[in-house]
Amino acid sequence: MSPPIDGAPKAASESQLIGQAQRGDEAAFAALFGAYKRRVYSLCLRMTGNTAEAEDLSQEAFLQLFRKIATFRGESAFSTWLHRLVVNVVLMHLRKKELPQVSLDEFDQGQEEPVKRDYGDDDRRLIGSVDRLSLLKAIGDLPPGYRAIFVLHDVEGYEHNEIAQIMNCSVGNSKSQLHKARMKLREGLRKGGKGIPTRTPRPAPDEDR
Amino acid sequence: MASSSNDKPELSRSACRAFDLELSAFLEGERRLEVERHAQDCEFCSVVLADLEAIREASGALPLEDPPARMWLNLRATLAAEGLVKEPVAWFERFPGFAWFEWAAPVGALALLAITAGLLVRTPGRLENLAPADTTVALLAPVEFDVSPELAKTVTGLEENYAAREAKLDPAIKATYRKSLDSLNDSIKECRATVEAKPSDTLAQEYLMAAYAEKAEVLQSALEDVR
Repeated sequence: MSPPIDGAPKAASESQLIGQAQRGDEAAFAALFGAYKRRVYSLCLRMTGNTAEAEDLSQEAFLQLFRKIATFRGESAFSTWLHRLVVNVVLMHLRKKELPQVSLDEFDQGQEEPVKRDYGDDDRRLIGSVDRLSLLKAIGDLPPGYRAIFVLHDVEGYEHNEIAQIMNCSVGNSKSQLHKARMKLREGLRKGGKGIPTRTPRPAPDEDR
Repeated sequence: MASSSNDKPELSRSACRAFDLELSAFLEGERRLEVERHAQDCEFCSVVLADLEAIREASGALPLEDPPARMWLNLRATLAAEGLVKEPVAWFERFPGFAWFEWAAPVGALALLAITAGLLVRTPGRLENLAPADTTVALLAPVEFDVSPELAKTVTGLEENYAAREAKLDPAIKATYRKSLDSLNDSIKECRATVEAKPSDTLAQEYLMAAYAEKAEVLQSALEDVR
């Protein structure tokens, strides 16, 4: 299930706000925007890795929200409805920009090769608590397909079945892409110099390695 | 304590490969005893596991980012251009039970004027006791208008309550409410000045009432968010 949205109004006041927004009340639009702007912008920023795109996409998502709000019937939580709308806006943008109009299952065929570990290399452990800025940069540097799944799962808390539905891929593919994304992210963080050596360079591994 | 694969020749690369194959499921929360066992025996793989867990933990705790302030202005302009926002409605239009207020307000104001004039004329000695200059002043004096005492009292109470609890709100939400309240206070000030300068201006009276009613709603909503 999608995580709750921080800063969201309490249910009673939120339903009042939605009702007012459905009648075109500007103050209600402003209040809903104020309550959800950080969550929406952060999701767009992490999925695109670019502040200008994140701003444009957040604006587009809110516009779509306010255009469609009259159709919201409360069958799902408003936050879930909005979150899904934002994800769709971003994915549509990514598909137009970087991904061909194919499902992720097809897209995966063209992705880079899975990250392979060199067993016994000069492995370096990342600092226990990963540096936030380096992490954001490394997420931004991930290929779009990996980044989308990583953000949806590890940052936003979506389950694989939800991701599979959103991204039009299989659950297995979602899991596999996530693992590759995590490994690639680790690689990126290590290359970024944010790792600390845990031991001196090792001699060549034994012949079985 | 984990030792390196070189220290334990029996731990082959195939064991590390098997670890890699099961690592994803293990990180998904599935039970994989062989992963735990291998991580204890192989320093390389224990490092990988620790790193991935650290990345996952850090990713789940990323703070939210603030969008640029101009975003709402752009959005508002687009909404207005598309006709999605409507002009603010008078406070009584929001409550069906108060629909009569639209015609009752001006009628009431006229009635009040008539009663005041009647009292001045019919009260024995009232006009006679007034000096001519005072009579002029009395007749031209503004008919005092103000919001109902109940509404004013409600707003004051909500305002005091909110001031005492405002600090508990998320800073961004607090700033949004503060901006709305400042804007409403400006409206109230402006309407009050207009009503004082021109007491017969029923539109200004109406806007003053609407601003008070809206302020009460905003304060009520803010207090619900604090809870």
